Amino acid sequence: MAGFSELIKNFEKARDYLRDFYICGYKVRGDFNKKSSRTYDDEKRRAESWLGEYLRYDDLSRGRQVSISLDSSRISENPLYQAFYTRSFTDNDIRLHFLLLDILIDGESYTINELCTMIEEMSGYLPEEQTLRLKLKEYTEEGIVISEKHGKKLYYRLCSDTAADWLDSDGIRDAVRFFSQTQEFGLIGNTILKSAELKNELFYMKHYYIVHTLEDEVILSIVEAMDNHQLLEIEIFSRNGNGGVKTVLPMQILSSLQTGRRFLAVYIPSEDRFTSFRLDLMPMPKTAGRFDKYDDIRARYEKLVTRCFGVSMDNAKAAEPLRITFAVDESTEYFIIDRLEREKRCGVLKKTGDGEFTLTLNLCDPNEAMKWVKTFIGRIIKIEGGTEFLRKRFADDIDRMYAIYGGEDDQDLQ
Amino acid sequence: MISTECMPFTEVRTIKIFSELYGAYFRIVSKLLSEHAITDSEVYSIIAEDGFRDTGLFLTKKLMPQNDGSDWGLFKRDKVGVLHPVTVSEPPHILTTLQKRWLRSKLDDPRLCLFLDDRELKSLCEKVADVPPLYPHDVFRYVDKYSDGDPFTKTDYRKNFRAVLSALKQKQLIEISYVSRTGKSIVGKFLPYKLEYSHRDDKFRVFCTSALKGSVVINLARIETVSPAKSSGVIPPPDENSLRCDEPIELTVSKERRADERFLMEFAPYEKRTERIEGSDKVSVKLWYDKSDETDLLVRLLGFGPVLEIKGPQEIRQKAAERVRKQWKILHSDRK
Repeated sequence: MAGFSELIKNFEKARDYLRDFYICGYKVRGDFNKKSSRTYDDEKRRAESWLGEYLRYDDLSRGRQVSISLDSSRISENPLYQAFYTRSFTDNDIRLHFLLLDILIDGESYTINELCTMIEEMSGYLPEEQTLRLKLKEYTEEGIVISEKHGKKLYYRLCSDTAADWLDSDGIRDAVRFFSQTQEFGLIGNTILKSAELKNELFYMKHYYIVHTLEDEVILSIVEAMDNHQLLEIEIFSRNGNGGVKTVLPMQILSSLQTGRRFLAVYIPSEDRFTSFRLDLMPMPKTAGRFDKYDDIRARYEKLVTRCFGVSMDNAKAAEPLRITFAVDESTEYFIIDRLEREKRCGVLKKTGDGEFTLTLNLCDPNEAMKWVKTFIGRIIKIEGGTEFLRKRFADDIDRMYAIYGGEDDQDLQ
Repeated sequence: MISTECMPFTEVRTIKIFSELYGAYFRIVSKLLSEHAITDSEVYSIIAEDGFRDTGLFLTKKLMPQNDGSDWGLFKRDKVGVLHPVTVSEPPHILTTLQKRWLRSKLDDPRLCLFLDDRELKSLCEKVADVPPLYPHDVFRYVDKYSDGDPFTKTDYRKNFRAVLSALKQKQLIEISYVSRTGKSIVGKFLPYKLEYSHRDDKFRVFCTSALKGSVVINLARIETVSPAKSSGVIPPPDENSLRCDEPIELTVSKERRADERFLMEFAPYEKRTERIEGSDKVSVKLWYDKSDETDLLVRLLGFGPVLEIKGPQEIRQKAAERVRKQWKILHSDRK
C-alpha cells in the first residue's frame, strides 16, 4: 500500500463506497466492479480507519462482506461525519494556518509583507508572497480573516467571532447539540461542536437516515443555486446507461422520512416539465447561468406539489382521484383514525358509512400512494379510481401474499 | 428565459463543508499547540484519542521535528526532549461564515425555542444580524412527516421540555404527571436518561427509569407537569435492552420492483445483517428492533407487498398472515 493516505482530496469516491458499505451490506469485494481491486482495498482501509468500531465483517462462501452496521437511534453522533474530516492538505496549508492565527490573534491588522516577515521571524520559514496572498483570500472567503483597504494597502485582521463567544450559554450549546443530529446540515453543527470541544451526549434520533449526510456537499451547492435562481447541469443516474446530463432549475429537496429517499425536484426548461431526481447518486452539479422567470415557474411548482404524495410529479395516464375505503371500528380503533389523519398528506378523509372511512387522494401519480395504502392490509374494503393498472396490481399482490403466507394453512406456522 | 449573462459551466463551490479547516488533523494540531510543553507520549495519546485508527502513522512524523526538515516546523524539541510549540498563543477557534450562516438558519426553526430563553434568543439574533441564512426554511420538503408533531412553541411544552432536559443533565429525579396513550393520568418519580426525537413523528420522547416501573418511555407532549422529587426507593440503572426485541425479524426481499434496494434504504436506520442468497434474486435480512415498534414495523413490511416475506419469528409471521388472510377475504367477498 505504498502511497496510501487516510486523507483524501475528492469526496465523491469515498461517498460511493461508504454508501455501499452502509446501505448494501451484502456486497463482497468482487461486487465492487466499478473500480479496481486496489481501489476497493484503499477505500475499505480508509473506512476502517475512520469508522473502525462500526464496521462489521461476515465471512461467507462468496467472500468477506464488509458493512457498516448500527442502530441509528442509539448513537449520539453520526459516525459518517468522520468522512468529512479527512480532506487532504499541503504542508504549507497547515503551517500557514497556525502561524497566521498566532500572529493575528492580537487583533491588529497587517499587510502581506508584514505577515511574511513575522512568519519568518517566528518559524524560520519564509512563505512566498503569492502563496500567502492566496491563503488570506481563501480565509477571507471562509470568514476567518477580514480584509480592509487603507489607502492603497490591503490589511488583514482576524475575525473576532470565536466558537466560545458564540456558544456562551447552556441553551445555545444544547441547541447546537440537538441540531447537529438533524437532517438540515447537521454536519455543520457537528463542526461547531468540535470547534468548541463539545459533544452531544443528550439527544438521540429516531427514524434517522445518517447516510443523508453524504449528500450534504451536493445539497449545499444546490441550495446556493436555488438562492441565486441559477440553472444547474446535473448528471442523471440511469440503470440502463441512458442517464446523460440535463440542465435544470432546482425547486426543492423532497425528503421522505419513512423511506429514506431524497430527491431534487426540478423544472426542465427544454422540456417545459417538472420532475425529480435521486440525490443519493447525484454527483456534484455545475452551474449553468441564471434563470430569469424563476417566480413564474415556482408558482407553477407550488401548485403542482400539492398533488404529490411523495416525489413523483409525472402525471399518470388516465389517472382518476384515488379513493380507498377502510374498515375502522370507531369505538375501539380510534388510533387507526388518528393514523389516517396524521399520515394522509394531501388526502381528504371522510366517514362514509358505519365503520367505514374513505380517503380521497387526487394525485399526479396515484401509484405512489400504494405502498403506504398496503400498510393498512387487513382493513382495506375497496379501492376505486386511480388507474386500472393500480387496482389490478393491488388485487394480484393480495393473491400473491395470500399464497406466500399459506392462506388458511401456512406451512411455516407451527 | 435563460439570462444572456450565461456563464460557462462551473462547479458550484463557493461554500464548502469538505475542508481541511474542519478536519481531524487541524483539530488535533490545534489541541497540541494549546500546550506549552508536551511529551512524545502525550502527543501519541492525543492522536490516539482524537484521530482515526491510522492517524498516528501519518501525523506523528509531521509533528515531531525531523532531521531532514520534513516536519511542519510547528514544534521544537528542548534539551530534555520535551516538545514546545513555535507559536505563542493557544490557537483561536474562529467560526467560519458557513457555521454562522447555519446558526442563522436555525432561527427560523420552531424547535430552537425549546433550548433558548428570551435573553439567549436575543443574544443570538444580535450576533447573526448581518449574517444571511444558509438555506431558507422551505428548501426542504418532508413529504411524509406526521401532521401531529409536538407543539414546540407552546409555553407549557417548552417549560416541561426544559425541566426534563435539566433533570437529564443534572441526573436528577423528577416527578412527572402525564396522560398515557389510553387516556389514563399517571404520576410517578422518574430518572430521565435519554431524550429522543423522531424525525418522522416530529415528537420528543424521554426515556426514564423508575423504582416501580423500571424502564419507561414518555411522550413529551403527554406530560402535564414536571417537578423536582426526593429519592424514594432504589432507582434501577437504565436498561435499554429490556426494550429490545428478544429475537430479530427474519425476512427475504427480492429484486422485483427494486424492492431490495428500496428496503435496504428504508430500513437503513436499523441494526441488521444482510446476505445475498446465492442462486436467487433475493436478499435475506435479520433486523433488530425495539419492542414498542413492532406493529409499526409489521405494517411497513407488509407495505412492500409480495416482494418481501417475513420468515420469522413465528408470532410476527402469524400476525402478518392474519392481516393478509383478512384482506384476501375482504377482496374476494367483494368480488362474489
